[in-house]
Amino acid sequence: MLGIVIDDSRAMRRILRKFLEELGFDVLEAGHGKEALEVLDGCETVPELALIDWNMPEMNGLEFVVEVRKRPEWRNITLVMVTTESEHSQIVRALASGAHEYVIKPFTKDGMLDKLALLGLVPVGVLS
Amino acid sequence: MSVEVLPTAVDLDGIAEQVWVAFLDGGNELVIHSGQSDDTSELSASVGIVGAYEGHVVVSCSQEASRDVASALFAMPSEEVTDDEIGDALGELANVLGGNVKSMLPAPSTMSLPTVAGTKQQQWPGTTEVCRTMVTWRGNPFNVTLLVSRNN
Amino acid sequence: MELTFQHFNFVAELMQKEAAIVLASGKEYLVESRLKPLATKGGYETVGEFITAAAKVRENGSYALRKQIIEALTINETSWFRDREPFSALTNLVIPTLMQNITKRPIRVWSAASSSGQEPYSIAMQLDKALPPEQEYEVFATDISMEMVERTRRATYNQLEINRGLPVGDLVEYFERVGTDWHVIDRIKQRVTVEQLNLAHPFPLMVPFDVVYLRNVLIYFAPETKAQVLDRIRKVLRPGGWLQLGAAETTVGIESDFERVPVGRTAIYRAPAIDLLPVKEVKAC
Repeated sequence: MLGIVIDDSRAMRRILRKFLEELGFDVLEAGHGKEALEVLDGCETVPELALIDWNMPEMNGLEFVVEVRKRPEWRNITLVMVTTESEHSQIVRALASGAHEYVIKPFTKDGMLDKLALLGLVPVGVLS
Repeated sequence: MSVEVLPTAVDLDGIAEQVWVAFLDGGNELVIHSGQSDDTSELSASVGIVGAYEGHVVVSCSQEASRDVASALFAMPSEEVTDDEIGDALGELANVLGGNVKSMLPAPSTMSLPTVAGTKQQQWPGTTEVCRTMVTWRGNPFNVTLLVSRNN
Repeated sequence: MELTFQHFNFVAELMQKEAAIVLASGKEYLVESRLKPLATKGGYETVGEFITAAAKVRENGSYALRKQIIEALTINETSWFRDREPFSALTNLVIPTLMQNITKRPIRVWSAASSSGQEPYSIAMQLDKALPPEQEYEVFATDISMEMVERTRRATYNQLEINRGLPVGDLVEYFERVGTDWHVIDRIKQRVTVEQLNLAHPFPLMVPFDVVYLRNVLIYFAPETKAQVLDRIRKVLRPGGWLQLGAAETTVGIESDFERVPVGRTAIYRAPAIDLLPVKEVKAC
């Protein structure tokens, strides 16, 4: 399994990378949407999962989601927003733009695991 | 904008508790001192909010406390963290606190990326305090403050 | 005191025996991290000391500590749609069966150990999605703890609780943001009635249920209590009604006439239909 973590905070990327690696993922990183598009363009295998922050410099997470949805070769990437944006209207906006799931910061490891189980990316009932 | 919809210290307490428990717990004792503050801060990280609400969410603490935050978030010994990592970690803390506070403010508003600076270098002229709380974590105080622009 | 081999072994055996959860060696960090908050809260210096106290089987209060350990290490104890399959069983098996002989009465579901309310509200959301709009339904939620009953009645969850397995589509449809918390919307909330109830005592008079969720509760009861509880549950189930137990639980070893119906990796249990009941049990009581 391959995942990409897109967040402008190195600390957050590190937390999410470690979490995914413990679940057996290989992990790519990008500091904003534009960089993530470049990383994906350079990928031989398309990642199964993208964890995407919303507020980032250069290109934000929502713009990134819209770009990914324009590319049929990336249609199998599960797009999960991981963001502190938590108004009802913002969540609806992200879903309308093409995000599949939504994790609100702060999250716990268990919460993140629940979401990945929901998406069928890890088996239900794995102890983190 | 009506005054009664703005968050109070109790709301800040709840947000701060969730953020610390999720990201910085690790079995460390956490105490929330609603409405209080401490003036030993050396560093502050803030996010600006613009739109239907204009203001800032600020978290400030001592050098030592900021080192602890970076050490916890980067999962490395505190003596090994660099200034860059301290800035990144404290900035992310402000981002997560700010985003949750923003959800209680008049919408639509957008939030800036965090800025981190020495407390003396970072000031917010033309603002007044809406509410504050203080978190003690690993024995060090952290101030969390919500400011509103006076011309809001 | 660090977590010793004996500490870990005690916890592993407890989990195996009480919750059928296997903690392989190498999961020491998991035990340490999940029990650390409990140890701190209980005033123990280390997780090791906490486990030592819980292991003093003859001492008053150690039972409560063991129960805390089991709860802390039980998977997703307060998740929405916990374990998924018990809820998909509702949509894929239970509802289609019930709708075959649809009547004007509401479908009734009981969440018999509703804890902080994630289970009854998950059931209500699932029914809201699966049932035709004209079909009424009621969810009855009970818990032994008055604190939990009140929490469920409030139907208010914080960000961390919301993140636990609630699909974002359901969050958007069935919750509204109030301050930093999320409230279950009234349309769902009003379907759920919450009362305090101790399953180990005789039940009050109840309108029979189509489905009872009794998950991860029987593990806490001695075998004879377990049998009594199952018997009482069967009596409040409609003929042919359904019983959903926890993933690791079975009615095996108990005098019970439930039929096991496999659903995915787990199973749901079905009470006998009325014509299969022995005559003596059909008489009015």
